[in-house]
Amino acid sequence: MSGVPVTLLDEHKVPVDAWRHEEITEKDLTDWEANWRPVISDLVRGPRGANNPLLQSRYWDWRRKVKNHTTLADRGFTVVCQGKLQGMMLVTIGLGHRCHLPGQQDKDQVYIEYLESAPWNQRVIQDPPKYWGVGTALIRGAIDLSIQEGFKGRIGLLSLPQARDFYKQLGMIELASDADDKQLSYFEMSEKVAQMLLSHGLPGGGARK
Amino acid sequence: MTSINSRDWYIQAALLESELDTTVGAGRFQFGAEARLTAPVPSDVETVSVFGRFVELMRRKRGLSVEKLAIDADVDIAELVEIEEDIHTRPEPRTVYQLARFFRVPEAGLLQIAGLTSARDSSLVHESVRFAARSNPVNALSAEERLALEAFVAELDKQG
Repeated sequence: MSGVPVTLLDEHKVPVDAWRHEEITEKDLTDWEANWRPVISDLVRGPRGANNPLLQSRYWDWRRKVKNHTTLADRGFTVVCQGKLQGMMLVTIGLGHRCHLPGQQDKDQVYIEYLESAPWNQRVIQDPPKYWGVGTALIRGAIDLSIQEGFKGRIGLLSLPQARDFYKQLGMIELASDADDKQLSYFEMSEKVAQMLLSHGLPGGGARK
Repeated sequence: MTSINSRDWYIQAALLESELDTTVGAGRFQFGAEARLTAPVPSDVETVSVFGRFVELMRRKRGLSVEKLAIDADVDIAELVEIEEDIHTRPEPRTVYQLARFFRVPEAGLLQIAGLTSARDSSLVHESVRFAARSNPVNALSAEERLALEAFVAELDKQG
């Protein structure tokens, strides 16, 4: 099955070729069950697991999530490197998710519902991670989809505080979502920023020459 | 004005990830519906079984099968079975909201018991543990179970 070529960095920051696919297949779910879950289960049961607030007593059930998101508005994505599943994402196209930013208020967006990297790619679990860039490769998929759908790159997502810096760096705007929910950050990308991002790269430029 | 090529774009993005103190796509901690939850969540494996026990007793009190409860509360039946039977299950936030509304108990308290929010009030946690200790998953709702359930609901109401 064809996909979009993407590039990750390995633990030595050497570029590695990978693929992003616009569906989550049975093979992906089997890979998830066979390779991600045991690692997370072991961690949770191990000495680091019990009282570690960064590890929870359960993992996301991707099989169930995929099963519950089968409408035409749902889209799954994966990143695969060297034949192994590295990340998964579920988005919703439009379907009630409207923008809040002035200038694009009430317009449709691609909304990122769930995004997860394999445990070995998560710094809180393995440092350095096996691959850098899985998450952003997936976000890029959401932006590209937004453009394909005519939403001009508008995307939205919810974030916890520890990830705020990243989305700000990406040029997304942080908006308060619920007045009484201090920990919640809703981020939205404007059409203009999406266009700049795709044509000129990341603001501030991650690459050091 | 030069356009950046795809490969360089991804390399830049990956470098940006590595320079920040976080990993994008660490899943439940950063994204999506479950990012609604406050963090960090304290060790709460015990409270998940309490939630399952609570759901089961409230269901049996109403004389409902799991299937009927799933229909009436508009939640996924497979998840409901997991909630009642699997100590390691963490329910979806929407499911907890639906059950809270159906059972007419405060959502905030039930979210906490379901292990989905951090414990703001230790008295609810204590009450959870006492409830779990006193309730017993056999078929008929005994008088003691009923009392335990009522005390627990009263505590939940205090939070709401």
